[in-house]
Amino acid sequence: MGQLKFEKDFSKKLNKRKIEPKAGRWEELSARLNSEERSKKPIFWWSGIAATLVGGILIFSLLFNEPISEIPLVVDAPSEVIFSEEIESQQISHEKPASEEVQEPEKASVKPVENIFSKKEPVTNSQLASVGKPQESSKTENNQAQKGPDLMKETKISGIPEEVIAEASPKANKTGEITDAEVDALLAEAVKKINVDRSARSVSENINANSLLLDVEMELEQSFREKVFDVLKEGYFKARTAVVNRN
Amino acid sequence: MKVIPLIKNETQLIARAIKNNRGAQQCLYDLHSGKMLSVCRMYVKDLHHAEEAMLNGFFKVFKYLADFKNEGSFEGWIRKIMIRECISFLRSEKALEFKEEGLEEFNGSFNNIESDINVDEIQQIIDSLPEGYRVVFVMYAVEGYKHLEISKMLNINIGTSKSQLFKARKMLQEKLRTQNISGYGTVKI
Repeated sequence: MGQLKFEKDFSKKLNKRKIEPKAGRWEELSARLNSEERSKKPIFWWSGIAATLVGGILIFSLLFNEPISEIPLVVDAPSEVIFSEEIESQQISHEKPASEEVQEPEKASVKPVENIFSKKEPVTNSQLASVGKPQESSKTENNQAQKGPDLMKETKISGIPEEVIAEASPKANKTGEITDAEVDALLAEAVKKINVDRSARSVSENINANSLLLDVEMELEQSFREKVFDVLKEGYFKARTAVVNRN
Repeated sequence: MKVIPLIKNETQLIARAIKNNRGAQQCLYDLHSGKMLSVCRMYVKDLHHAEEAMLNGFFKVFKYLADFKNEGSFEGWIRKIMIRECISFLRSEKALEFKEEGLEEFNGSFNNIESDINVDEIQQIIDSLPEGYRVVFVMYAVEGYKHLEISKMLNINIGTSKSQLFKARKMLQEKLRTQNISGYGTVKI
């Protein structure tokens, strides 16, 4: 099946024909080509932005990991100091009436206790001063332990005779003499008191304010971190969708 | 003597246009846009739409210019892109629909008539054909594609391509006859 005569004529005439497009068509095409070129470039820009976002996330994660170990130390320190100060004030309050009530003949027996306490006081103050910042109680305890076992022994021993003497002194004043039974009774009472104090201390140690504060701090930190990560995630997804839409 | 520098120029222009040289691209556009709009106009009735199809075609030409291997003529390569663009335009307009038909019904002869009408009249007659007939007729009779190639490009059977051509010829002959065009002999499909 070949071409018909009129088809040959049609082909010849149509292939010779030229229709000039309207003016401004090239500008239109040129603008399209320019936009095509531009759309290729932003891919690099967006990839750069995405890379910086990822870098930012990494830096944030590093920054947020570091303070977790540091912040509780700073925050907890004052509470520790207050706690130790409270103990001291309690001890002083216990001692003060005793020292007031103790009469002159008994002063000789009280003096060593006071001396011991007076030894103890500068130690705690110097510890606080040497630390400069408020520090953990564990640190102060460590320092105490480092100062030597003698001091620790003194503080432990000082607790018993101090109270015993404080209790015994008024009775001794009344009677003038202390019997063995009275001494035993006083000792038993003193032991009871010490046990009660110890149990109270152990309770206070179990429900440690520091640990509670630490827990709260951790929770706050985590929630803040989560928020930051959420914001970064949103930003990243927005950037990604923008890139996809552009393409 | 004059042809060689022209070819050299076109090769140089293509090389520059590949590197996104707008000047070179504009030169290529100016060289071929007239002919390519004429090609697009054969397939698309509306001139404005034909221009749109041509611009889309040129956009693809410059986008994929690096793929041109200088094996055939550059004009032929652009022309093929333009035809494909026109077909896709007609498809997007849902204007291109083919009814699958067997060739048996369309065995017949044609009066080998000769026309002496100008190009605008030819275009008018072609425009009067239904879309399917027109596309197959132009591809076969004007562009010189074979039925196999047409069937592949339009995703139709060879039989459908032949039947479309048969019907297009029949209609055109009728139209030419009414315009008092003299006929010579007969041709069998």
